[in-house]
Amino acid sequence: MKAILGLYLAQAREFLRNRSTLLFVLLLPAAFGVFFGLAFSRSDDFQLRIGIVNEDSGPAGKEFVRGLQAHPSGGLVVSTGTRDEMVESLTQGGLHAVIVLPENLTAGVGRGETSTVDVLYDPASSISAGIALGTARTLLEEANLSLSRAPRLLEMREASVLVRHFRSVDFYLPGMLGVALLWLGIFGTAQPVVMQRQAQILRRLSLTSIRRTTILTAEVSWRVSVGVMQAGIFLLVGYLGFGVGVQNGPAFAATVLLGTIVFVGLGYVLAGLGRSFESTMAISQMVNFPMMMLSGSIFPAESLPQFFQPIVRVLPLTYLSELLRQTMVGLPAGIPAATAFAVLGGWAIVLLVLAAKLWRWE
Amino acid sequence: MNVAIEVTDLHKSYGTLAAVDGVSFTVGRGEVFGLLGPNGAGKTTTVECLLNLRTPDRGDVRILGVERGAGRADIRARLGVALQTTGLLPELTVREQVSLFAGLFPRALKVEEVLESVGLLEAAKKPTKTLSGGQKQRLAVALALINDPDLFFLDEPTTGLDPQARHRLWEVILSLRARGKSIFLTTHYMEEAEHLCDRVAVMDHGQMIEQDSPGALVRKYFRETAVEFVAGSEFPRDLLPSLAGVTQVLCENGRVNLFTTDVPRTMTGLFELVSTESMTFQDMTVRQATLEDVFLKLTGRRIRS
Repeated sequence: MKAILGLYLAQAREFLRNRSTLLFVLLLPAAFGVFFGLAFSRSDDFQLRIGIVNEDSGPAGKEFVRGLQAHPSGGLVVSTGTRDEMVESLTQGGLHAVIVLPENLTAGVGRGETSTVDVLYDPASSISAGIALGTARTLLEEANLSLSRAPRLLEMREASVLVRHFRSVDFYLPGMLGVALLWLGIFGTAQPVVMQRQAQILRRLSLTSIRRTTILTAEVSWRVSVGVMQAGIFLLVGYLGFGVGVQNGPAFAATVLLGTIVFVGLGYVLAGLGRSFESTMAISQMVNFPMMMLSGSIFPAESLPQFFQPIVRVLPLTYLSELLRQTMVGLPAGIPAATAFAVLGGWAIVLLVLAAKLWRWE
Repeated sequence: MNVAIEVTDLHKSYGTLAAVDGVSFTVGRGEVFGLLGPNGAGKTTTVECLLNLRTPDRGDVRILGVERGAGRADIRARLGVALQTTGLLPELTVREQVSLFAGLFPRALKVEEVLESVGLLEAAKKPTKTLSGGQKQRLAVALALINDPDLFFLDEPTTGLDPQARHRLWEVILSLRARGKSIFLTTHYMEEAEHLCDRVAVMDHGQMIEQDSPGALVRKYFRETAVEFVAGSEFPRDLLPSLAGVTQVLCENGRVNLFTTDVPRTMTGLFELVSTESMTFQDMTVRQATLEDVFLKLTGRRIRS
């Protein structure tokens, strides 16, 4: 017991005094989580900015403008001006669409004739153009109805189906905790294990009166502790910085523990595959980068091309990040929790068996 | 049970290369035994087989009376091992490193005492990665001392040490011997082997060439006095064996060693040779033969090349 504690403390000191390990495993992931959460957080209400060019001098044009300015749906910003001003603002991105009311609008309405209203938009920004055109169409229909004094038969009431409102930090913070556990495997396990193997530290320790498995037990226990520490840091940062708590404590703890086992196991597999420090780091990067990018931890996996989807569905980090999002912030399940736990458990078994097979004392 | 190490007909090959090819020797209790040999002679493989870090192809290894004893935790508790600068955790301080090892044995000496004896007390708070090569070497020796073992394996313990630190370590080793400890060491320094070892073994190409006390080996191969000097390649070396009193000529690079039974007549002949051939030489010394001469004669190489 004294020997295990001594070896555990020795590993802890090696870990905590090594700046690059400390940086990659404990500090950077949380910092990235906060950074992404802040950088990509759009304001929650999307505001559609519409410009109106009123070339009509009669009451119909004025009424249309007044109607829009007093429009009950939120998120509509209306500005008026000459055609040149409005078009320039549109091309510079200040406006999403411009509605041009023709000069003979009042006369046309009085005669019961159809007048043509131009809607200008910038097709380059496809998302906002789509919304702008749709909105403009609706607005014109409404104006049609009100100008023709027809009775209003149907009215839409909007209601959000989401009970909670999710912010981008709710997505990024759990995702980066997943990446943090991946980095525990790469920078906190594969890298130091190979370095210590090259320095023949295990070999020297095995010449004392302890068993070799004791050394390994202490080492693995320390790495699992690091996984728990990482989760603690994310909880602290999330809670203090963004008020992110934990929705399901026991499931979150189980997820962190299982994720730690999977990625520490992966670290030992990588250390077993590489002959030297350099080759291990090369293999590690081949695992690290695709895993980070394709697992939906840093951005939603649904936004990736169809081609990548089979890979997405295989990666353990996909399931870990998904489970972390579900258990930390209660994000609606993209993958059922039971399935995710089962896949992660399967990965844990495969990686641990592989790690044991590839393990080299020297 | 007066034998610390007993090795019989040890064989170990890597592929077709026979690294250790039928080596036998014994190290008595309380004895300092030195294993000498040029690089690639098979010393490291021999030590690794003794420590059970490698499995021999053939042969017996008994450590403290137990077959392949280094494989047993209770025997390992009685061994002190100083490998060359390897196996140290870089971020731990000197004291933490020695304390860690103290905790890996059932019985250990005081950390401060051990650091004091190898002269590392002042460096106790330094991280291992910041130590000089000599300090790391002394730390490796401290780790060997911490469990107060009966048998020591010291792999080139003084390589990279300054003369002062080397003499200090010699004192440590001699005091261990005085307390009845057995010591198996490898070294590159012949004067170290002469000073410390009760017996030495010379190894080359995986085989033991000689083993005896340093004095007996020198007497066996050299009853003569050595005349040593440095000369260019144009020096007529083929004429040297015919000089009066000369029994052996050993040349290595520019250095010529004449072993003679009659120093004055050999010197006279050498000076005549130089004046008739109008040749020069430098740095002449006349000295007693040493273990280094024995080594050069046995292996054809100086140990430090």
